[in-house]
Amino acid sequence: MTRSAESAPVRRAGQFVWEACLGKDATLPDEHYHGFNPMLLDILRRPPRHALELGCAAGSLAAAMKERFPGVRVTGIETDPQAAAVARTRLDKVIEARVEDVDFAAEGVEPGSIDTFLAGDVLEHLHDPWRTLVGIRPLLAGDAQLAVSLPNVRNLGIHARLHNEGSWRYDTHGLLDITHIRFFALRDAMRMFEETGYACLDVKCNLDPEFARLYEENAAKPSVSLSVGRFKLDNLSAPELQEYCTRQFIFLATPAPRPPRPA
Amino acid sequence: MTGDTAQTSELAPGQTVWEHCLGTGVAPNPLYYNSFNATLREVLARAPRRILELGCSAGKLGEFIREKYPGTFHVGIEMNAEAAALARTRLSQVIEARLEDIDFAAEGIAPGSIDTFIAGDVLEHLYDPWRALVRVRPLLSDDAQIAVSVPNVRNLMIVGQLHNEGNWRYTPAGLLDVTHIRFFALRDVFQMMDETGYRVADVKSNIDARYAELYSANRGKPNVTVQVGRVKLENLSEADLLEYCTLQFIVLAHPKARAANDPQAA
Repeated sequence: MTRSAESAPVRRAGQFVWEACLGKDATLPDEHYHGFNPMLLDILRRPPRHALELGCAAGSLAAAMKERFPGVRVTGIETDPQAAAVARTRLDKVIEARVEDVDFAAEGVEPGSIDTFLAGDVLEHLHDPWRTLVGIRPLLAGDAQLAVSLPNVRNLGIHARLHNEGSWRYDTHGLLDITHIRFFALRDAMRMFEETGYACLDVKCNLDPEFARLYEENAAKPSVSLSVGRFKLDNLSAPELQEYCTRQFIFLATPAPRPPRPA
Repeated sequence: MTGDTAQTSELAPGQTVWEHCLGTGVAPNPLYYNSFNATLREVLARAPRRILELGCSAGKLGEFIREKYPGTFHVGIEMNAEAAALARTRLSQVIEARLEDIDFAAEGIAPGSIDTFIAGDVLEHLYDPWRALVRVRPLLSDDAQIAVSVPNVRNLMIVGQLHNEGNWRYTPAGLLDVTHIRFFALRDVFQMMDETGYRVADVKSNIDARYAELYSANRGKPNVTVQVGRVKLENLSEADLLEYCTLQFIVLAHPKARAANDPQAA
């Protein structure tokens, strides 16, 4: 999850970000498990019948999905035992494992049986998100829909800080949440889908509240210059302006006709 | 490693970076076995006697250090079996494991027995480099030196590529080597050292060959503006300019004095 400040782990006085968020005794507050991103459901084009959710946490998104699409069967994958235990009360099935360790046949998830795959702010936490996408592809129906959200590394806030303060500072929450180990701009995400055997059908931008006004004021201009302290960007197109003002992208993709290369 | 090895680490036709570099069965680039960062030896403030090296690869840096400082006892930690086997022919001792799994007492490495710790282009590959630094601290003598190199995320190539082309593009080698999962600007390196119990004594910059000319043409000027395509960085100090032209930082640090109530103090 790209956690909000409210859902970040509680940091005791004098505790560093890595102490609070990494390691065996790192704890996630309850709020972390209650939030979900409704844009992942809004972007779907068809009602899901059998959904597979990677990183289902405590099942908040799945619960919302079941409310919106009655009758949908949801299988979740979650590594955190506490979250998985709560998710079991809401999903049809929860596989408590790392995705690379799951034997889907043994779990009763048949090839081609999944019509909707969801990964909400999960891929940026994985060492090899590329193989994850390749790995789930055989489970998907030929016309399956994937809804994936990713934080945006081309966000203006990251670079305003890097170039004015000289710091890439990991935090307990947000775009540089210390549990994020992979970074993507829009083009990188599109390339990831292409390389792993998917066609991207739609992209929505979750605007960063910090830059929402900047975006509104400049969105209609053919060419925009941005300046944050010593950091200046010239001649940006409207889609680029939007990318700089975006906190997170939400993608809708579908398996490409061409199978992915064997990994 | 963050060398200029990109051109020699070639993808097969049609192969992607992640296919080439990640996953089980992917052997590390053998070029890395023979390359090492000579600056890690040059940054040392004193002659090392007992060295612990995290990510010793095939042991070439150890060999290089011993040429200048004969008689050093050099323990390497390396998780790749092939590299570790080669390192055994060059180092005093090689522990083939991940750092977090090592029982140092069982390996015969007593608390306070290491006077030099080296981590050359290794921390950026770890999920928790902070705890790695905390974990080795009890092994170090109070006046130990640590030499650490890390790639620089505030480098102009990264800046230009992201803002002009819109790419944060992982590559088989270099700054955005796809095996890098942690990123640091110079301030972040200082912060990491401070938070994990070390004070920085010296920093050397390995200048990025692509920007060596830019740096030498502008150093000494009070306020420099650097333009890379549509990106402009204004009012840079000489230190800022150096950072943008740096491929990699090489940091020398020492353990901070232990607090009186620290059980390790005795």
